Amino acid sequence: MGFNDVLGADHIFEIFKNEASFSNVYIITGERGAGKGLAAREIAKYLNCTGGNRPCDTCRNCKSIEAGSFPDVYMLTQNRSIGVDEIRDIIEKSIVRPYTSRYNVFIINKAHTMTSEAQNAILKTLEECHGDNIFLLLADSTDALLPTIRSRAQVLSMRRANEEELTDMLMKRYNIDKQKALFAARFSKGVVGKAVMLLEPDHIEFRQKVFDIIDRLRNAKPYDVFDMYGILKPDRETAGDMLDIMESFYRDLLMINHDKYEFIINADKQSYLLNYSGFPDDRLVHIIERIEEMRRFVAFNSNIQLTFDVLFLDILGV
Amino acid sequence: MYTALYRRFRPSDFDEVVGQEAIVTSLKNQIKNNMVSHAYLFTGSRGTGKTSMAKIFAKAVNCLEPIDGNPCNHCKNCLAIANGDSTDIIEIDAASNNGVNNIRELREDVKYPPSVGKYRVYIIDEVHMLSQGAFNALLKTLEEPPAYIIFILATTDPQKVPVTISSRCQRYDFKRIPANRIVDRLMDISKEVNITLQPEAALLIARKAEGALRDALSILDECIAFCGSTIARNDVLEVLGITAEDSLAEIIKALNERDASRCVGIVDQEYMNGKDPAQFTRDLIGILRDLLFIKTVNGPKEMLDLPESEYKSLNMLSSMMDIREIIRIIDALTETEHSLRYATQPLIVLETSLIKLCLGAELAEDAAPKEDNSIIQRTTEHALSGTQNKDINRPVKKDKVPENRDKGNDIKGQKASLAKAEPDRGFDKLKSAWPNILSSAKQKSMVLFAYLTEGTPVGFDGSTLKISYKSDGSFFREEMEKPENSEIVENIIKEITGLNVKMECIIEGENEKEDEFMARVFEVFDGMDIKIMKE
Repeated sequence: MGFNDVLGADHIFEIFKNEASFSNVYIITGERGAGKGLAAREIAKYLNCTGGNRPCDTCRNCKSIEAGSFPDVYMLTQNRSIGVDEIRDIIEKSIVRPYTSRYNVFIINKAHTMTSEAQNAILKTLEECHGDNIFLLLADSTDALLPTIRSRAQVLSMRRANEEELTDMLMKRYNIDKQKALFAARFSKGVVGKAVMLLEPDHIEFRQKVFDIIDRLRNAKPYDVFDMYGILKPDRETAGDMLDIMESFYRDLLMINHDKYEFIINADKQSYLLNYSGFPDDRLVHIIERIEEMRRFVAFNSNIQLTFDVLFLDILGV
Repeated sequence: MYTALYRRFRPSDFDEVVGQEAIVTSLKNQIKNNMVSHAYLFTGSRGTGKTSMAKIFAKAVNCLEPIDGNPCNHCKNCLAIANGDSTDIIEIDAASNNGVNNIRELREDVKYPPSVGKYRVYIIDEVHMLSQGAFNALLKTLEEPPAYIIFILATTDPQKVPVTISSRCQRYDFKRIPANRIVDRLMDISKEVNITLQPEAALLIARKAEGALRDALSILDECIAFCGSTIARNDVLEVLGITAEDSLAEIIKALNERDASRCVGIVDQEYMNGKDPAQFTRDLIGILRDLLFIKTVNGPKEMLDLPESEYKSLNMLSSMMDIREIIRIIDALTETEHSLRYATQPLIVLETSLIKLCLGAELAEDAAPKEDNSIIQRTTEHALSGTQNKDINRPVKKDKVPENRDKGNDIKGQKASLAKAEPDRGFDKLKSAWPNILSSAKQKSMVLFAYLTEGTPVGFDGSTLKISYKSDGSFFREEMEKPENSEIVENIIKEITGLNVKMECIIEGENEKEDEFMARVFEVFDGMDIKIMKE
């Protein structure tokens, strides 16, 4: 890995290349899968690299950062929300000067999951940290961060990768033909992580199944609906993916109603979409709103099967 | 190493603090007249200067030769404090040291007099994060500390500070800094760091900072990092991901003309350019708010902090729009902004809500019938095919009664006209005799009279008299329906009017609902044999 392998972050790397211009606290924002984590790690490598063409990926520092064992790069990654204890840990570490290199780099993954106590606890540290501390807070968006955090940091946002670059990279890295790579690049709208996910066979199959369900819904009788949940049996995790795919489908129908063919997400299904007529705007708007509502229900621990039954009935117009 | 601008240009004496003149004056006077209090509470939104003011104040009280209440910044105390070497200024981060144990330590500490200066100053920042126990542990110390102790509590969230704490402090509320003051400061600083900052750019930064100087300087930092030494308005837009006004105005025009296609086109274009849908929504709400101002407020120009050219174009735009329309859009978008927080596909949510806005009033009226026709069609087909009848008795949504409401009315109408035909005369007779009936019922039984007065006679079809009760009168209805009671009344009626009458008691409105429901049942199960069985 090097700077060139992370797409959509060149403008961010540029800042760190100039020693006189970078400051201590940054929030890096971007959608899920935009490559924030990768970018942050490259920055950490760059700052601590001892090789010639930084980040060289061959020196000891680079290698141990890549392996996650470098003492001066602290990466906080956890699946549950980040509490005040984790932050205290970071504060304590930030007082110590770097052991072997010039900068202590603190990377907080999913910073938007910090509890409000945690965010408050880190405020003073962000504002008055020592010059050799670099904080990189990675967040999906700044909305979930306190304004007091936002005001102490500089916000850098990842850019969407450009289609050509992304296609090239996918072809090279995953050894696939151009057609497939191009589709993934388009469908993902330049979000690298999404493009990669799209190419996984599991996901391709999953998506096809969701489309099958949508297709069956077209001519279903109300009582048929109750069998449909059984086709995929989504759990809490995959329910979100399923809702995403369904939402994108109905949204595409909306686009077709307005002749915006160039914005269609499911570009590979275009001919199918074009045949799927007879949904007026207001119905589609209603369906999409319902899907959003269902998403909240799933997040709030509702019974998933019931949720989907209700949604399917709703799509039928019952 | 580069220091963030907001740290580098932290004010070092009272005169450098921007926009808090009232507080500066009173603090300076206290120092000059030696009337320094022992506890202060600084509140105000972020970036308004609370911590800076606390630090300056701490310097000023310990300064050896203060000038007009200002710290001199030359004496050894001032220098020690500025370098962070002084043991007399203790800055506590209450958010990460928020337990009662931390406060106990502090109470132990308070016993020791200052080592060099006159006062020991405790700056307790983010004090709203202290725990309940910690606050209470602090109370006594805060009220009666030794003479050499000063507490300065600073917080953005004064509601979370218990009243028992705030009543022991002198409270100063820091105001948000006006945009023009922020602009001045930005221009000064950019001159000092050799950056050419265009006035329009400064104005935009100041607006986006929402009265917080630190936000403004953070944004300026971002701009410098991206653009180098010359910063124009467009650069700021780019850095902040703000959508340029012309495409916002374009969307508002499209919304006003209910042109969904154009709205979606613009949004998608902006999304591909890397704009965040949530930010886009906020920008849109912002500009709509400006439009609303222009339409409703006297002298909006001064209040809006907009460059001349933009004000003009907004003024044009506002003349095309209706106030109610603007408010409607703002309402809808505010809701969208909220739901965007949960959305995993924000673009779709935004598009959908824009299209909904364009559908506007049509949606409410048209949506329901269309939906409903389709079910009825489907279910009828289904019923005719004659399979699995059981599946059909699912609940039907009430609010979607479509055009067949008219038919329902027809049915009701028919019923009513049937009932009305000949017994009208009898009903008139009954009605006029009603007071008599009541009074003779009163003589027979006081309780019965009470039951009876609650209802009103509403219909008579020749043999059955309908008495209607209010919806909360079901008790009277039940009592009245008991044979021993109704018989008495029936006899009275026979005595007075000579009519042979059966009583039927109903609850107001219940019947109509039933009729409506029945109408729907007939509609849905059209063509099928339906028997009505009552309990």
